[in-house]
Amino acid sequence: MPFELFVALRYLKEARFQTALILAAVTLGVGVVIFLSALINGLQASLIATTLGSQPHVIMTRLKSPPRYTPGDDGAVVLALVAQPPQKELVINDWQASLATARATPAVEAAAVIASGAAFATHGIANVAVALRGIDAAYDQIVPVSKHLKSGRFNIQADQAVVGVELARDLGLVVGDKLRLTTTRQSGATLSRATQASVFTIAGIFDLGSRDVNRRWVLTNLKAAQALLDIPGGATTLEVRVKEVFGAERVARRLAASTGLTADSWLQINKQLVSGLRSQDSSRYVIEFFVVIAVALGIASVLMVVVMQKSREIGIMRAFGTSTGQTLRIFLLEGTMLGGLGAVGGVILGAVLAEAFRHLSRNADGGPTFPVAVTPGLLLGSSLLALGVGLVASVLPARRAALLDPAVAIRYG
Amino acid sequence: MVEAQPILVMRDIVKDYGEGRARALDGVNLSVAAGAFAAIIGPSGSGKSTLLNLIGLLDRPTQGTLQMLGADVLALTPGQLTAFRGSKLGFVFQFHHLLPGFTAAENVMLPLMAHAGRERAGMRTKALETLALVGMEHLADAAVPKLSGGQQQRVAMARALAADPVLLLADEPTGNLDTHNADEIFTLLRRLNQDKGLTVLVVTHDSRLAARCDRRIEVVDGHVRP
Repeated sequence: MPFELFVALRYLKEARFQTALILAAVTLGVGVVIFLSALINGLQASLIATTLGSQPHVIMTRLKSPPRYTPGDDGAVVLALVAQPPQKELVINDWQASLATARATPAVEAAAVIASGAAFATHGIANVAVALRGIDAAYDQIVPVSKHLKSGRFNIQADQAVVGVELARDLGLVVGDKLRLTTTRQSGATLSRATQASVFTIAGIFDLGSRDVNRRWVLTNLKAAQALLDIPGGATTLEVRVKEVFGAERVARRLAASTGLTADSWLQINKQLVSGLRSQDSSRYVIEFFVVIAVALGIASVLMVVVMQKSREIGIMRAFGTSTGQTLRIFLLEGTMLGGLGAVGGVILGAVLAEAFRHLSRNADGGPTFPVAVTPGLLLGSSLLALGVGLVASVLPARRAALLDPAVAIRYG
Repeated sequence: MVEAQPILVMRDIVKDYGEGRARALDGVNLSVAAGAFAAIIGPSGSGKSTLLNLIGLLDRPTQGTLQMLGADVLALTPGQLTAFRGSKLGFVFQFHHLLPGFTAAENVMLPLMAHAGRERAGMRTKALETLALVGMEHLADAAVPKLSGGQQQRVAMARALAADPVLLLADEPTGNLDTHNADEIFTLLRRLNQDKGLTVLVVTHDSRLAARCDRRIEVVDGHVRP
């Protein structure tokens, strides 16, 4: 065993009451950091998973033309009428090239084409407004509908459709029922309206965790939707899943530049959520910062007291040939060991607190309120942080010990 | 009879302390032969401890030259000075100043470990041999606070001897002991000097013990009267 470690260990053992107290403080600090991080990480992961459960990471649409000004009818005095461009002007006709570009982008995990628009869904005498979404098989990689099926199968071939649980409840639908979808389109210079309808068989019923999605979405195959929406061969959006969710904005900018389409990331679309997550992160960092400072001050003050109490011993050791470097390392090791041992205790405490929270905090249905994410990375990171804090906190006491004048220390202690 | 080579030569040593430049030693010239057994005597505040600190390389003089074993020790770097102190000098103090958290043997091993950088099996053997030299091998694993004053001072002597120094510096080594223990420690120092040829410099107030030394170096008002 190296000399410095031998002495440092003995000093810790000798001052066992002080050592126990500071170890308790470090353990508590590390435990709180782990528990707090696990709690916030779990909450954020849960929020992101819920949000992205029914959302792509990047949505690509055709660049919107500016609002147009339409004169009033029959000589009515209208200065300007701001109108949204018709559906047809939002159609991406050459989507195949953009889709290929998106799929070839390294940070992209999957990309799918969607033709979507408004429709009326009718079953028996009940009818509601829905969002008709024509998709291809790749869509399941963007929003994993097949994993969230409550009944039936994820089948969108031919005249098959998949709907959400809320819509099924509103219309009284079960798997195998027929659903009539009606769309309206404007045509001609007079913008006269025409309707067309198709009947689909319900192949499956999903629950994507969003009431709005579950109530509004009707998923069917791309061709059927294109026909109903009167956009033959066209698409309205390309939707993308990226490999790293927080890199979605960067990917969106890249896709916009390479395809000429508008690309919005989920971070842009959910600005309030992202702002909330960042506020949580800031709160966590502030709390962790002060915990770390408290732990560092605790270790530093205990070691400073040890150095003052042992000044004469340090002087004696210097007299019999202990170098300033060895003296420095004795106290650096003490600080690091306090950090290290506290980290071990903190890891156990943090894990126990997280487990206790998991059991105590339950929803009405008995399920956990949200997952508490105690990951190996978190435990390792917190342990390294504690080691680092112990090392840094011991620098000042160690320097003081190393710079003691041995003659003065021996005489005056 | 051939005069022994000097182990220590001090020339025109001056030591000032503090901003007021209080002069503790003023123009000290001193030569100590190898194998000497000398007492440094003088009234309190005369500069005895300052002289011992300079000889022990725990402090540096303000002026003058200091040669030890033929080397100009004042020219050494702090690291070289520490190594020199650890390998050539041994210290015994009035109060034993043992490290209370360690056993007797561990206290003796510490200088060896500091010098070697790490613990080795041979060091315990060496520590036990050194403890045997002072008659303390049977209490090698005893905790320091459980030893008597005389025993503690013996262990302190063993610690000072562990690295086989050539010069042993003892600052009032018997000052905290009763007459019986003081005589035993002094006899031990004498025996080490005679049997092992160890050079011993003892700071003492005890004129009875000083009289038993071969040489008395008197320090008065910062001046040495050899």
